[in-house]
Amino acid sequence: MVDWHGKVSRKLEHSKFSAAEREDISRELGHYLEYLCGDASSRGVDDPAATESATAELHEDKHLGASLYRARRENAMHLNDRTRQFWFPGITVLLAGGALLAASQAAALWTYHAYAPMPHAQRYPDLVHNLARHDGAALMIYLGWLYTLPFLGALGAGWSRRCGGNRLAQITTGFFPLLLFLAIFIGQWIGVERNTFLPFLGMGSLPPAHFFFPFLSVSGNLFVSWLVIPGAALLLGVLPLVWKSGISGHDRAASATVAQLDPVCAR
Amino acid sequence: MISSNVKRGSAELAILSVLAHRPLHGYEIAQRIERQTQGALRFTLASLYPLLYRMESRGWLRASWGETPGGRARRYYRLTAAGQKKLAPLRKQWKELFRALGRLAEAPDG
Repeated sequence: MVDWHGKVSRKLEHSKFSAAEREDISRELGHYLEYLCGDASSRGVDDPAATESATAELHEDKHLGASLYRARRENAMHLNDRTRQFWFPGITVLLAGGALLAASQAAALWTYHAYAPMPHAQRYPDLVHNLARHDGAALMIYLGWLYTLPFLGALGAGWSRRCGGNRLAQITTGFFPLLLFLAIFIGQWIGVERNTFLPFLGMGSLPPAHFFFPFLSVSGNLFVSWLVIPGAALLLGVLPLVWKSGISGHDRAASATVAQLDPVCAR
Repeated sequence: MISSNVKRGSAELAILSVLAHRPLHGYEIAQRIERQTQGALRFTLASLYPLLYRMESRGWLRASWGETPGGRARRYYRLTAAGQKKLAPLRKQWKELFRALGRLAEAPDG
């Protein structure tokens, strides 16, 4: 009688499993090989051939221990559908939106400072404050950043769609960066109310109040500048993708299956 | 050549489907799938157990030691509520995928 339990245990001896886990797995896999061997014998295969065939199956994967270990530890890395289709792409585009805003502001600041040095303004907040006083420069930053938003919207919606997200998930993912802009709007609004200046994350890159709509209040302008216009820019990117995803329920089910097979989404 | 992701997706469906009826141990799962697919899907130890453990990690299956009718200890796998919830949409998605592929295969060129 072959000691399958011992054979499996030796096969797994260099794996990362604890002794107890290895014992448990060896016992289970040993039973499998015992059945396999017994089945072959009952079909008329002689014992040495049956043993050889079961042994070959045990050694089919050179890295069996590592495969089993990864599979048992997968839980921490596994993302559920909502995470894959909504949270993960949504938070990524939100962070990308913030990073783009900060980067465009920083790049403009240093470029502006190189051409028009401000000896009295050496600290970052002072630089932002000075730059924001120049309508043209502030508008350049704002518009430059605005041009990136359709791409961000498309990225969010497209990512969600690729992972099998439905239309609602695609739209909300594409609009996710608006959460950040809402936070900036609230921050600026409070800043205006308290007559303080908040020069972080593009706060200083906003064109001056009443720049777009002189007939609106300061908070109205802030609302338009940080939420309405960026929202419209995101919509420009989201809309074509969501429009294109107007497919039948059958095809959506099929595309969800394909999404599960996609290496980006099939976690 | 079918990619490993396709194989894995279909293998998950096969395992969930055979476990929908009753708990089974590893060898029974492999045998039942091979029999029901008339040999089209065949698992080996190296392909079956990593998948079973992964599905267990995801919470689709629960495994526990039990006894066979002959009194031998075996590790049995059963579907969890999450696994049952996963099975219906997975079946539908695969059915639709094959239907879509069938339409593609039957479509005239051009």
